[in-house]
Amino acid sequence: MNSKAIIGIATVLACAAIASASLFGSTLKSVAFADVQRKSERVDIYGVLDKPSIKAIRGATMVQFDLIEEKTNQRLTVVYDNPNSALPPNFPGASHARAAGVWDPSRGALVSNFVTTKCPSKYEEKNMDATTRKLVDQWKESTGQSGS
Amino acid sequence: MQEFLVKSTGLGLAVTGGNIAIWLGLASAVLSVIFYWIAMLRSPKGEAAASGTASIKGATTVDPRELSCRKFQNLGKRFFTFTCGFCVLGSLCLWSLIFSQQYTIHYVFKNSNSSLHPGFRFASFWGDQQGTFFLWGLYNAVLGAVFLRKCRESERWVMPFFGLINVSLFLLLSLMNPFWIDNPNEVRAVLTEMKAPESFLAILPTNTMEHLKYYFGWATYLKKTDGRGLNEQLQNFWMVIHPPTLFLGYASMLIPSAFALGALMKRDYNTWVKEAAPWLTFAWAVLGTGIFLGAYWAYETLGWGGYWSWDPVENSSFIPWLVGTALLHGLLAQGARGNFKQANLFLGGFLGTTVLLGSFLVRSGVLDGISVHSFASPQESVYATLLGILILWFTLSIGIWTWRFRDIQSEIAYDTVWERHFGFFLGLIVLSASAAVITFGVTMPIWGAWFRVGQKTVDYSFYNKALLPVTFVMVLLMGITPLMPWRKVREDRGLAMFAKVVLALMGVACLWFSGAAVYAWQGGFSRQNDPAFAAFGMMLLIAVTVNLRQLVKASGGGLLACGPWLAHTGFIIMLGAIVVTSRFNVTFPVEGVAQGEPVKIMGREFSWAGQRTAENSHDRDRMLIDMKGPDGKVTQLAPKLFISKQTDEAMGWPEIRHEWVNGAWGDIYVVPSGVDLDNSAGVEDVAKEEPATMSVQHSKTDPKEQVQVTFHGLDTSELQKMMNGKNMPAEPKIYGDVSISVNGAPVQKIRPAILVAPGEGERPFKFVPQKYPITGLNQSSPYALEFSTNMNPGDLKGVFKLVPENPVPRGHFQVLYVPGIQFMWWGAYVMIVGMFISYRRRSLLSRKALQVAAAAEAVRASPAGSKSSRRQSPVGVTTTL
Repeated sequence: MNSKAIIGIATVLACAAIASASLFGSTLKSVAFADVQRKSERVDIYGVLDKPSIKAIRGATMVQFDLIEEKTNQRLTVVYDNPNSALPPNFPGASHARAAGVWDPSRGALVSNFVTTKCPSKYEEKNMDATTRKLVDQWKESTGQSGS
Repeated sequence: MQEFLVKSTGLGLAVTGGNIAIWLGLASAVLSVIFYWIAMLRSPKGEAAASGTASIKGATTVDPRELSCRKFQNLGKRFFTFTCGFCVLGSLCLWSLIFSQQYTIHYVFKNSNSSLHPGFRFASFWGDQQGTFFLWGLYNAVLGAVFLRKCRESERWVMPFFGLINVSLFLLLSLMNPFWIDNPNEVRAVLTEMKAPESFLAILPTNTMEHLKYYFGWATYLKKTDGRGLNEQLQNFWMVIHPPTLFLGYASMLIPSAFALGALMKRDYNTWVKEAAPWLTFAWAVLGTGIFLGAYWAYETLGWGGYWSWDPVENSSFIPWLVGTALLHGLLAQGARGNFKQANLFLGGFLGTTVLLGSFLVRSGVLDGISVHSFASPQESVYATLLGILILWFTLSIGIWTWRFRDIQSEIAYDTVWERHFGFFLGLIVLSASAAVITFGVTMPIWGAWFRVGQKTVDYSFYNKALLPVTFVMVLLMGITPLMPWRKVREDRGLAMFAKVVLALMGVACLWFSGAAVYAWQGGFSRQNDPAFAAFGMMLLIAVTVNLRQLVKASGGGLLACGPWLAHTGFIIMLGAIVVTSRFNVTFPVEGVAQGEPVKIMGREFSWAGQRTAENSHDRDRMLIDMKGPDGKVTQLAPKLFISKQTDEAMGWPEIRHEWVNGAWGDIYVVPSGVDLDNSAGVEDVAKEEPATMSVQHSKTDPKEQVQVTFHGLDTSELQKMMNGKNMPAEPKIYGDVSISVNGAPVQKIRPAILVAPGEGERPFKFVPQKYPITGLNQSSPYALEFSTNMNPGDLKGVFKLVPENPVPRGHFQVLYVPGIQFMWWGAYVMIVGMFISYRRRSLLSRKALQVAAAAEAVRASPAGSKSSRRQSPVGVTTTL
């Protein structure tokens, strides 16, 4: 085997070893809401942000909110607690959120210090039905049938 | 009635034109690819192919097989031109619908509205997936036209692959038609439910012909007066130019990839290097610029003080850039020495795969729930199309490369380890390894699902941990390779003093980094990383010194010779800024400050100064914050804090000031979090017998105190009396049965009341919460409890609110300090300038090299001797890259 192959393979193996080693402590298991309470390690959940449930406990650095799992419609409370970093101000406008944390049975919530929100670049489509309904309402108003 | 309906010839023309453009565009793209593939497969390969075109030019008779190939090639070209024309037509139709505000069209409704600035309205074209497909198609049209003009000899080898992209784009457009109008059956269902008038229902189609008229824009529709509009965060100058730049980068990256595949098919493994190098440099520069613009937008808009979060969407653009960088260096080496042919052809084919992989990851919905960017999951056919083109390109690139592998004769990669080609060799591996690590991280959820080990993701720490050592080696190579001679055998001189010093310092940095990496490992890569950062910083300083020296040396050869060194220098400066900003950025949350109340942060005083309403339709409401500097000068900051028109939710955009803080140059980054006007605290949806806690702090000098409430039930006796009309009280009330505990004190039973007052309109009553004074709190203002309920006997819930007697509005904001961030942007500017200068140089060199090659071929093919022609050929032009 020539030196090129040896050096090349050694470099590739070194990179692979570094990548593998880097996985320790950096992987998060995405779990279903129903499984969160059974896990003792740090897990990752993702769901629809229930906006009315958002409660600021300590400004934006401790915020409680509920996520709703889309498949099952199950609800889970998350307490974001990170004194060093507030949630982004656009958090309340997010459609979905992903929270990484550990289940705290005493609080009945997933305590998380890392929350990412779905970039609002493409919000879920607002239902076109709403526009049609609004139009009909406007017609009813214009014809005095709004109370009917 | 007519004001609620709309029928427009413009709508009909644009929708019909758009639909025709999509379907005919798809047909012509398919035909173009078929004809190009026939031309390619029937063409001679190997040396015959390399000299074929020139021979034809000089020969008086043409090989019938070649004639046939040219016929198919011309057909392919003609249909490619049609495809481009249909893409332009479709795009114009969509733009016309956007500018004429035809909200009947779902795409226009979703991405545009009447209050949009014309510039943003133009940009709303690429506000969603379909528009970006059109945009990509437009770029393909322009790039294809330039390619056909400049690289005629390679047409039949490159276009069969490049044309495949057009097929997939039009297939996707036909599946996700941007000219779609609401499904009439769904509209009918809503109208029926709403008891809408018959005249509304009558406009909906009932037979095939009416349906055709409806979907092609010629029917009468319910008039939608406005659209939902482009998301406010996208209404930003950088976001307007970021997507088109990025897509130009993607589209142009596929050309060098197609060149590599064409070279493999042609069995000509050398010529493509000269032709592909300028395309690759252009694509590399544009994609790099696009990535930078996205990072800058995130920093300026998103309010978390960062610019990169290792999100799949970001990674999807970074992977092709890294592979393109590796390929670029490989092509440079091959142009100079003829080595790395197998590696370059592999990377070339794979480059296209990485672009398509990125598209698949962010558009198919496969990472929905993983990425913070949102692309709503499309239908399965779209998923299949994206996956199909990815698999096809991957199979072609790997398959043809494997098929030709033994046929590729490459020069030896390097003679000794102390020459630049060895540095290039390692650079190729390290860059490819970086791309592989990121690809592994971003696709991990897919592997997890495929191998049934559960969906796993990696957080940002994986990329930081894995790439810090790899990038360290990359910087080492950027510092050491310029010191190496091009070929040891030619330049066997001793080391200069500068090189000796640099090597010694690099040795120290390497040893230091190795020890520091072990130390960082012991700290879990989070607590004790500073020594590793310091070693990394030392290596960056050495590398930037070497590259600046090379830059000075190269400047003697003119601006065009400076490109690579500028790009290297800029890249190293950026890396330095990344380390500094990641390590030293700090966040100071400022919560609940009264108006004018100062908070001291980093030698400055910040105070909330109120709010300001939007000054015009393009402005937004703002939060006013005074910043008093160390010199006593007060600057008023006015970051935007407003209610989104689309989501009715609060949005805050940061305001950024460049300042010297404690001797370091950085950004003071102020993000508004919100304004609390009544300084109250509350809990909602409190179920019976479930304790709920509220925290109060009236002012900064007051203690934070807890009030726990438990809701037991309701006393509705007075309401019952009122309903029965017997012994009706003057002011009937509902009472809550509530236990309360202040700061953990013994529980007291209280009965907060809700007044039942006469209602208005359809509502006979209204419920007005009454204030119940709370004792035991040590706040500077007395507090009272307001109680309300949902009055649902089946699922009774209480709502509690603690309100101060003397409400004081409070402001919430954050102050971040991001040191050295300007070096990030300056480094990026320098790198981008360097990349575009490199492109210019590659372009000129390639043109000259091709002119020389063509002249040599013409001379060789000329039957009337070649002496005179040889004398006329360009002299003194280097053919190496």
